[in-house]
Amino acid sequence: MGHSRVGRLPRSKKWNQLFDLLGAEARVPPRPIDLASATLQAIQDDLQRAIQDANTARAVWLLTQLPIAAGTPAYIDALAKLGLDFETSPSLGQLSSSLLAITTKYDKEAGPHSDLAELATIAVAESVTDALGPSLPSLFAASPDDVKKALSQLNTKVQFGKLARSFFARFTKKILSYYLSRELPRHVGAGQSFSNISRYQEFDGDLQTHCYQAAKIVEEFSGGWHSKHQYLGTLTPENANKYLAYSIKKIISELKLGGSD
Amino acid sequence: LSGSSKHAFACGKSPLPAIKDAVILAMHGDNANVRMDISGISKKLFGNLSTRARDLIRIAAFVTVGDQAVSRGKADSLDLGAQWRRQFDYSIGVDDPDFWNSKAVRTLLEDTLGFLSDEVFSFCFTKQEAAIPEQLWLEAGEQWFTGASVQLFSGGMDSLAGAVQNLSSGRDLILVSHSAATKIASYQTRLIEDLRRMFPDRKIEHVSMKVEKTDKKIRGERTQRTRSFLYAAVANAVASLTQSNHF
Repeated sequence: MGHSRVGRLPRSKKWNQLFDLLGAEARVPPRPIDLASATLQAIQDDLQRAIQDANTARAVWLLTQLPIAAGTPAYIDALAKLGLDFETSPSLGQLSSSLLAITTKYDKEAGPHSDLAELATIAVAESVTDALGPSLPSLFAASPDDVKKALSQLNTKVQFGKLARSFFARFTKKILSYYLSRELPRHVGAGQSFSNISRYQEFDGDLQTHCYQAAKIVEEFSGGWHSKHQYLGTLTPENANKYLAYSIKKIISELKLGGSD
Repeated sequence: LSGSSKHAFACGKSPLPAIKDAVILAMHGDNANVRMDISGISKKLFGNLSTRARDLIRIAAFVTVGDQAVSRGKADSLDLGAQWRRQFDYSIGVDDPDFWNSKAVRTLLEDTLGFLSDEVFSFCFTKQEAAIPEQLWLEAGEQWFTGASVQLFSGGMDSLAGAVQNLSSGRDLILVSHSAATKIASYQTRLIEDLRRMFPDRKIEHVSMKVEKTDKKIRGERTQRTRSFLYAAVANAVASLTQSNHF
């Protein structure tokens, strides 16, 4: 709340590829795949380390556990174990805002949230809300029982795969935008890479599509992984953390290649 | 100050706490490095403030100074917010440490400041060695009136619109401002003069506060996310002095 700071990218060697794409000679909008690739090239090593952060891992743990929690009789207790405190079954709005509020909670063991953990947690809230939508009578008229039922229905191989794809698409888009938004607005205007704000918005939409296409690579794998570890009783925070690292690695490769439909 | 994201401050004239490498902040004495002016509240009126209201202003002032003492990192930092989200350990000398150290109050204080600033606070309160009312630098007071609305007033469009709305509703106003820069103070003064001209039948009082860091070593950050907490602490004191029930 209050003062914020508009950041910028450092003028360092590892960002040269990105600056070249947006340089003085660039008069056409760069392709999302090129900017995504240049960004990932610059951040890849740091990103692999950063996602091991406890709060980012916790966000992914939430994603894996919410559908399971909704299928248990002790739903409220299961949510409480995930750090989501309710006296009665939550509405969709309450569930969503409670997920977002996690970013403001401080856990003495995990330490303060990093920006990455915040992006991951927001992506969880968005993807869960989005996944529940089609199963609910309407977003605002849905009862807490409707929400619980719809959430529990995500605990299948196919549905969890779709949820995971949605999450990773949003998470990676947010990561890319976290960096690109520091630089791209400086390249909007006559004679710039984006001749006007509409072209910039088009690019942003295309980048989102690119991330969704790239996240296809983890959809089937995620459904199988979730289902298998539940069956074996090995769905643990440690395994979820490994799943996060592996999934990000796969998506980064795919984002550089171009993804699939 | 910069570097590590954990920072400790020992504040006020209190027995020094066991916080290693704590930066000392003081408003009084030979090592004073913080000065707070609240113009509009006289010393006499300030003396009538409750102990807890005075403690709250003191806590808020030190938090505001600490907030601006430590850099949140450079604009081109790519540390995923590591420097932006700082962790603060404060030890503050107050008149009523039992109240402030109670779990409920301390948690509320830490959560409120965490929400405002996006970072982590922990507090430890000690009994300050003696009540030192002159620790807070105050200018001479003006005429006061009771029952008015107390409103925070930055001089921006939002608070100006709020002031117009309150005055239009027939309320007298006490506006509480922070005037970190002379330019802002002059805007605030001009706007208040205009309000007085527009609403000649209404009483409008202005309480302006300024917290200055007299030591360059504690000037490390330009953002001031916790300053609204200081406004609120002063506004609480003003509301208490004027028995206002409209905030």
